[in-house]
Amino acid sequence: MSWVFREMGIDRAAGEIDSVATRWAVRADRRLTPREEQELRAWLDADTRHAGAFARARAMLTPVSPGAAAVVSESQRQLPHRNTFPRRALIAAAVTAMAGGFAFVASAARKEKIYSTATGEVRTVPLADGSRITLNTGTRVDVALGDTDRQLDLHSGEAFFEVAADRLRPFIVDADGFTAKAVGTAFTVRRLDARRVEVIVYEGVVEVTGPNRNVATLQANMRAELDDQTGIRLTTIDSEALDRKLAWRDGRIGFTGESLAEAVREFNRYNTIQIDIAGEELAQRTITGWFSSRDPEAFAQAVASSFDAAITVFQSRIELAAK
Amino acid sequence: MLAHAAISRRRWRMDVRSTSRVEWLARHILPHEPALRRWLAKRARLSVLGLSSDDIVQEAYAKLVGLESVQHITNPRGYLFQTAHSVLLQEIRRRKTVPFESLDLADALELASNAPTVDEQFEAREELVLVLRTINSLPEKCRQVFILRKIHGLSQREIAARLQIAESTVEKHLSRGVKKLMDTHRDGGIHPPTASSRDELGIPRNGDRQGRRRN
Repeated sequence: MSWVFREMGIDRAAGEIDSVATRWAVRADRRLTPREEQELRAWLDADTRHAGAFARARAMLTPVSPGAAAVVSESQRQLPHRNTFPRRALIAAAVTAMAGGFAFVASAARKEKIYSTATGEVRTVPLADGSRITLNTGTRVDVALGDTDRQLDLHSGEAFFEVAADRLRPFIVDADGFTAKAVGTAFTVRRLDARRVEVIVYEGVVEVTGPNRNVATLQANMRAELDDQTGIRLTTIDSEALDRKLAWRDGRIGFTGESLAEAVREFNRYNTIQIDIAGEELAQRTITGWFSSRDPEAFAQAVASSFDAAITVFQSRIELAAK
Repeated sequence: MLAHAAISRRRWRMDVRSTSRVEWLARHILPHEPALRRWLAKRARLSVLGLSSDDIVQEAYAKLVGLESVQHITNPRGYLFQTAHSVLLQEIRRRKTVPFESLDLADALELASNAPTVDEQFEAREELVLVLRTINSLPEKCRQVFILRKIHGLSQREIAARLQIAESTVEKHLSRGVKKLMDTHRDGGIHPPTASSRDELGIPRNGDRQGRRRN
């Protein structure tokens, strides 16, 4: 090995070694011919740095392990119910759609199953591949498990997907043409309006395809908003907020500083008894706390007493008004 | 010379016959490489020895891959820094005249290697960010290939079959991806990633990618 040589062109030499090491690493990853093996051995023996660069290049080629991704996210949060699944690598995806009635392109080649829930209903269904879907209120999901992929279409509502890992059959959730594809261990998605989709990753890695077929890859605790106007916007999201996003599965809703208007909209998704707010000022007050999603009256009572508002309970609606 | 050849041969066995050492490097050393590079970059006096961070890193990997066993290593980060330290000492001893500052540097590196347990989780996470940053910066076809490998763990043959391209094309794309990942690690040592903004992750602003077809 020659340190003198190195002093003449330090970085260039190291960079060249990396290039050669990379080519060898990729070749060795498929299979080497005896001749190539000989060449590689000669190259490795020529300089100690070669063996180091070669090992490093091979490490770079090593897949991110599902285990590693899980370890990363375990420090962030514990995925509920994860232990009840037979396979270690699970992909959790929740998809929400608030606007219904999207064009649905049926694939004639495969069998589709349709799952749906009524307003206020939450239901968990197992899929043939070992995955599970938990459907939130007023939801419809069409599931097509094919030989080369697993395609899910969300027509309306919200669902939490816990997906058995299958590297040969990607798990793709389609929401109005935007897609979220599980490419690692775990993730979640949410549809806000027509042509506006929110994707939140709980664990592992997820690839999303937004407007203009733009693509982004996200990891745990990241949120992407897909929108025709703004494209793909990425932000981080903290563990507490992640927990709130999934609270509906336990029949709970959590707020941290949302306006009463937003909170009521959320409540109205779950119940046939709708809450109305009279008064703009009242609607802009902010709410913090946990509530039972299926008890709108208790929520309205809590709001009324903390904001000193008047509450009127009718047959199918509850009115909150400033006093 | 004989001894050198013997060592090389042993290293060769480690390298090619067993993937477990490579996996150990991928899981436990690679995530700490940016931290080591950051540390080395802060101390520009490496140049008084005519060395670059790349040299130290390559030599350190060479030492790590040549180890008989790694079972005794409970603190991989510390071990990596320690290894870098011994590479540096070895180089200093090789010199006839040693620049005064370089001794300083070796001492400081030893101190760094003894630092109390650093957040392993943080660095594993940082590693994932670097991988994603790389993936997001690759041209579309290359990106697809690299994702299938690095995230899905498909073999080159499986990737070729899935995308219906030649294995030699897969090889080309993978090389490009790995090279890019190396660059990201090199840069990552200077600009630590924060997974917060679109720019950090290299998401394109306009529809400048060819997307894949929807079924």
